[in-house]
Amino acid sequence: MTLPSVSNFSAGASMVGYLYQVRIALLWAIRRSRISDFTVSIETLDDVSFEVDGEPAAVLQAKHSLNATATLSDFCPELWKTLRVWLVGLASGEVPPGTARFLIATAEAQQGSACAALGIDGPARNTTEAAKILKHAATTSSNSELKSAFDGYLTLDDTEREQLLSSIYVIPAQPDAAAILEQLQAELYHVSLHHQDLSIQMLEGWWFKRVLNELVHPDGGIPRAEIDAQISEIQESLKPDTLPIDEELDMLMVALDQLPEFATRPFYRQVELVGGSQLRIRNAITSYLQAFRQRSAWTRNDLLFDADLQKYDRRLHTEWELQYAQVCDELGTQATEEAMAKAGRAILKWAEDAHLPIRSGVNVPWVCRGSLHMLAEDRRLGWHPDFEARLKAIFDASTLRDAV
Amino acid sequence: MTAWQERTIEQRNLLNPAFCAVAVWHLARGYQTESVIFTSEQTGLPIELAFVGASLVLRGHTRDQLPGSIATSLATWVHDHPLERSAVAKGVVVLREPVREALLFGTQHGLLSLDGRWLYAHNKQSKKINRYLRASSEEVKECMRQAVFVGRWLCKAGAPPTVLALLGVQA
Repeated sequence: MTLPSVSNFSAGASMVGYLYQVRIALLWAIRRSRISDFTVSIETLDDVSFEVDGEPAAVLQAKHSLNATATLSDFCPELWKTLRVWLVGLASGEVPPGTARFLIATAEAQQGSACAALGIDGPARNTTEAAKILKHAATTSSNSELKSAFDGYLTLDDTEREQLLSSIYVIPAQPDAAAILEQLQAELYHVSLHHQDLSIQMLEGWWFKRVLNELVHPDGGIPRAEIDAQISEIQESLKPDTLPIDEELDMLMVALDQLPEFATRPFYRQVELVGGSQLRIRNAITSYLQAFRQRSAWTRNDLLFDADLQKYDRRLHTEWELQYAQVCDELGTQATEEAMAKAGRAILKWAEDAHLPIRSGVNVPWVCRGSLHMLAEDRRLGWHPDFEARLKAIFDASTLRDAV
Repeated sequence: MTAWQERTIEQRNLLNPAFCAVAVWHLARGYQTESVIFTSEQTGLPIELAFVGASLVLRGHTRDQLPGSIATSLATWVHDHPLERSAVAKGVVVLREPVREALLFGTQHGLLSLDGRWLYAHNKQSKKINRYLRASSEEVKECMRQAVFVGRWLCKAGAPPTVLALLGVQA
C-alpha cells in the first residue's frame, strides 16, 4: 500500500487557475480600454465580466491546463462545465443572450471539434455544425459528473441552442499563466520605452491589490477610468530623468559684435532696461538661443512638448512671480529710477543663477536660464519692476503708430 | 483648447494649425492616390488615420525610421520597431488637440473637406502649398514628402480598426 503524500492535498492546478484568471482579467481589461468604457469584475457573473452601462457586454471563462497536451475535445469537462455556467446564467437572466461569451483556454481545440467550430469570426466558425456536435456529445456521453450540463443543454430547443452558440467564442491555445506576460508586455509597450518590465510589475502589483479589495468589499467592479489612471501614473513616474543635450549647442557662444542683431528683441530690451552690461546681454542672447534651439529639437525629434514644456514654463513663471513680488515689496511705492533698476538687476541675477531643471538629470544651466529669457521675450515675465509698462511703451506704441 | 498666449513657443511654431493642416493635406493626398488602385474611386483619408499619420510624420525619430517603400507591411514594421510603436501610440494622444485644430483650420480655409468620416485634400491648393514648400527648410520638405508616403502606406495597411489595433492606439 502506498502511503499518502502531501502532494495529494496539492491544489496547484486550482491555484494557477485563479492566478491566471487575475492576469487574464488585466490583459483583457487593457485591450478593452482602447475600445470603450466598462467596469470589470471577477467572480461575479463569471470568471471575468465586463459591464457597460450596467449590462454585461462580455463574460470570460478562463481554463488553464498545466498539462501541455490537453485538448478541448467534445466531451471534456472544461467545455461542459463552462456551458453549464452559461446555461444557468442564461436561464436566470443574469447574463442576457446578447452578451459575448468567451472561453479562453490554454488547451488546443481538436480539429473538427465543436470548439474548433466556435472560434472567432472567420471561415472556420460554424455554429450550426457546433450545435450538432454538442447535441451528439450530450446524448452519448456517460460522464455522470457532467450530467447536469448535458441535461441543461438538451433542454434547450434548436433555436435557443443556435442563439446561445452564436454568442460563444472559443479562444484555444492561449499562452499559459507565465507566458501571458508577453501579451501584457505587448499591450503596455507605450507606458515606458525604457522600463518595460518595471511598468508591468507596478501595474500588476496594483491590480492584485485592487482585485483582492474588490473581492473582499465588492463595489460594482473596477472602472476602466481607474485602470487608465493607474497606467498614466506609472507612465509619469517612469519618465526618464534626463533629456538629450546637443553638444554643439552647449558650446555655443555669441560674439560681442553680433549683439546689435538682437537689439530690437524684447528679451534684449528687458536686460537693457535694468542696466545690464554688454557681457550680461551677451549671456542672455547665448542662453536664449541655446534653450530655444534645444527645446525645438526636443519637440521636433520627440514630440516632447505636451505636458513637459508647458508645465516647465508654468513652473518657471511661478518661481519668477515670487521673486518679483518679494523684490517689489521691498521697493515700496516711491522708488527712484536708480532703485528700480537695481531691484530689476536682482531679479535678473536670480534668473541667471536659477537652477530649476526640466528633468532631474538635465544639468546644463542654460535650459532654465534660456527658458526664462524666452518667457521674457514673450513678455510673460520681466526683470524691471515696471517691465510691463516700459515694454508697452517701447513695442506697442510703435505698432500703434505704424497702424495709424 | 489652450489659449494661444498660454502655449509654448514650440507649440506655436511647430504644431500650429496651419502647419499641421498642410501635413494632413499631404497625408490625404497620399491616401487618395493609393485608394484609386483598389477601388475605381478615390476614397478619402479616414479621420482617425489623420491622427495616426500625423503621429508617424511629425516626430523626427519616427519619421527617420519609416520604411523606404509601401511594400513593407505595417505589421512587419511595427514588429521590427517596438519603440516607434510606443512612440506612435503616445504621439496620437499628444497630438489630439493640434490635429483637431488643424482639421478645423484646414476645412475653414479650403485645404481639406470632411465628408462623413473621410478627409479629402483639395487639389486647387497645390500651387499655394508647393510655393510654401519651396521656401521651407529641408526638414519641412522631408516631413511633407513622408506624409504623402504615410498616406499611401496606411491605405495599403487596411481598414482603420486594423491599423489602430496594430499600433496599439486607443480609438
